[in-house]
Amino acid sequence: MRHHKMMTWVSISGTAVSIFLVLVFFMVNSLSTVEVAPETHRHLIYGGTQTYVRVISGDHEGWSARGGATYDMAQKLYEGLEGVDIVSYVSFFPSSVDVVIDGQPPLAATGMNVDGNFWKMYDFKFITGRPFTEDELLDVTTPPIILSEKTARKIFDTTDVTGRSVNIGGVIYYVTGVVEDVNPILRNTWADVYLPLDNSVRQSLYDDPEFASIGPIKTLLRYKEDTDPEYVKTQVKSRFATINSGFKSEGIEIVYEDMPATPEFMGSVQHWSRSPQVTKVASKQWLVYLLLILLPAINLSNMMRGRMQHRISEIGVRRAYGARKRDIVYQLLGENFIVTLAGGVIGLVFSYLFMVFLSSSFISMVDSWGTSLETKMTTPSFNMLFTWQSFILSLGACMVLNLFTAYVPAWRAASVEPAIAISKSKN
Amino acid sequence: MKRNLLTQMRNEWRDNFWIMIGLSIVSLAIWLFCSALFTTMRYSFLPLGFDEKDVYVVSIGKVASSSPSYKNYGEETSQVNNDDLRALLAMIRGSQNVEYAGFSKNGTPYVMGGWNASLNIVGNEPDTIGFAANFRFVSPDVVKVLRLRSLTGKDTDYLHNKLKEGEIFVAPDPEYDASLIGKKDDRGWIFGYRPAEALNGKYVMKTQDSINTYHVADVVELVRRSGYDSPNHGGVIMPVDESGDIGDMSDILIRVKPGCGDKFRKEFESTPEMMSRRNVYLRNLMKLSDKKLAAERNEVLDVRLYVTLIVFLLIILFLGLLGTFWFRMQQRVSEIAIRRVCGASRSDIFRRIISEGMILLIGATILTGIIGWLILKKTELIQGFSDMELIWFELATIVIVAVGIVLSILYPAWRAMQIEPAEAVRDE
Repeated sequence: MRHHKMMTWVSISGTAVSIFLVLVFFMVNSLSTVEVAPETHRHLIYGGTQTYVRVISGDHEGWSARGGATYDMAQKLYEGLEGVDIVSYVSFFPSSVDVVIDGQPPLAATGMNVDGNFWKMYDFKFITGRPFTEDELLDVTTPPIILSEKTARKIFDTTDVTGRSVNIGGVIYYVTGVVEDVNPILRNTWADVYLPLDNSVRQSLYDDPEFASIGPIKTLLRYKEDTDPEYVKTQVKSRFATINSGFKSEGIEIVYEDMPATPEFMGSVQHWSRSPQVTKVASKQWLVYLLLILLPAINLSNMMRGRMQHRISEIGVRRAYGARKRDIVYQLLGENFIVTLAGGVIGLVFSYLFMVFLSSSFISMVDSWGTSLETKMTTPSFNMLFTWQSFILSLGACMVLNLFTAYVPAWRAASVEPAIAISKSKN
Repeated sequence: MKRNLLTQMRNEWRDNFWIMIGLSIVSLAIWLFCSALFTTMRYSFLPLGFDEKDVYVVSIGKVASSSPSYKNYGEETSQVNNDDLRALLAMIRGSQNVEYAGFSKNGTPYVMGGWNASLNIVGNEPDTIGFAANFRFVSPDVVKVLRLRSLTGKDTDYLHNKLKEGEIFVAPDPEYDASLIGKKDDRGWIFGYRPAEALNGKYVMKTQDSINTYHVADVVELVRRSGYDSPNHGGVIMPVDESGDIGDMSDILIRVKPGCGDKFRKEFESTPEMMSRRNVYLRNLMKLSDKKLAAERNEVLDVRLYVTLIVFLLIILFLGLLGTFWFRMQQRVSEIAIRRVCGASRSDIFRRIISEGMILLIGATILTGIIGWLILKKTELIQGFSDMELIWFELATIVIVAVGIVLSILYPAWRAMQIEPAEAVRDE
């Protein structure tokens, strides 16, 4: 290796670039499923996201509308399913709210309406106070609110604010607790202020009677560990059928679209704006990995072949002294693996650095709806990236790359008859 | 010599085959990214239609009528709210840091919504061809805030006065107009589309509004929604009567004096009377250029990502070819030396190696072309392009990859040029 210093560096850099690209691609994708607080049970959380209603007969035949569900419809579809541990109803998408502070310009914040179960479903860390309960949701005299740490500090300069009041667009809420900030990439739990799921967000969004079941609510379902997702789907599907048999006389149909949506879908960008049936994710992912590995592999393999031809006489001598083909191949693979591993480590380190410091300048990882520019610039934190999967993947990618690049050239070099190999020693 | 080179390349077919496969994959990916880049950047070279420097925007908020802090004045409430809003605008105009300020409804750039309708010319015969446009409702002062540009050579004072007199401006759709140059008939009509210039100086009506008529005072440059947004419609600038009902205004646009932006922000944030009055308040004071960052963020990120990916692919290609040709040249030392002895000049050697790279490129291009047309065109990866555009992208790809190839084999070729025949064949 020392003899071909420059080429060793070329190989290492080639590998590093490849591993870097594979890992960045992997990490960006894995952000939709990574399990960090408060979304520690992400793999169990499914969702009833969109409600799609079609008019099938009558004057408005052919009309259709999409959105979340009304509170009533969400309950009809998802309450009390077998295999589901906790059901939580939350607002369909984050909303922009104005926090009015006396004598200061209003603070633009992102709000989310949640119910009492939301706090049981996720592992929020309360810095002060407590979550609000199901019974407090409809309290009109002292409506509860929970603030994120950052928001509490912006409004009050402290987090010790339980019991104090906050004016949001003119409505006075009372703080029951302050939670640790959530990274906006965790799009099912991130907000600046958590408002109660009160009556203002339980009604239909439409005046047309046909679309009375479309509202501003999304349902979150936490399955038990051993629940078969298909079994829940069957139950939901039959509920759609039951509701539709009642809807028939009204000339409308609520279309079943592969609900509940999977945890991967729930973690994807602006998931609430798409139907899980229309969006089939992940199938092309492996193609990209393969391409990112294959491309440098072809290049490095060509280089390896060149290198083998240089060492053919050395291999010949070893073979002449009794080394087996297998030994030669193992030795060459081992040597190459050192180069690949060195490249892999460099790629790994750079991919972490890129993701933590630069990713927001290249990739949009946060929903653009209802988010400020500052929020849009969010990058993942280290604990979202340091996963055993990323280590395994980089090691695996190195091994695959090594096999791709070195095995065939090494085998071919080792297969040359020693006499011919030695006679080739020209250079 | 050329034939000689081909024979030599055939002898190394295994290496060359894999190089070509690698080149094809890179080319295919670059082709794809070029087309994506073009889709994103298609409109970014057209003028924006306004000057965003020193412009601030503040949104108008209203206390909800259900709120305990809502002040109810019965039937007078909306009048009170209007007066309060006018008072807030007057406060802003009174600031020594501000040059001009005015109301806007759908008049603020970098807001991606639209207020779409059509204008029809008022005449003896009913006009069936409308002028479809995004309507922007603004105070006359906004002409000076955004520095709207007349396309007929008028100055901003003229535009300002005309808007004050209740006249309106139309703006052409640059994309559509470009495709119609020389195709307009005598009346300026074509394919059911009427260019903006045909409305200049005419009286017009909004579709579905049979009461109000407006005089078109001038043609101005289209105020676009963002630098990347497709301007697939014309524009209309409508005047806002500040003394009338201004309840549906969404923002106040402000031009500060040059260099006074920070001073104005400080003044605004420390003057409660400038920020709110009873039921009306102003929120989210932003530089227009910051609004631009938020509005164009996705496109800017896309452009950066595509360019970076192209660069990364070229780096991979560069490293691979550099390595392969390096070893190739080392193997060929004696061959090159013999060529030199037989009279080949250094530049002959250099040309020969570069030609080798170009032959590989041609092979890869043919392969890419076939795969590209067969697969990519049929999948959703590349859509919405004409065949001609796809050919342009492939040509761009070939140029990019050719530059990549030349750069990668430049060093090995240069090393080969330096070979001294006597030294190289010493051991033969």
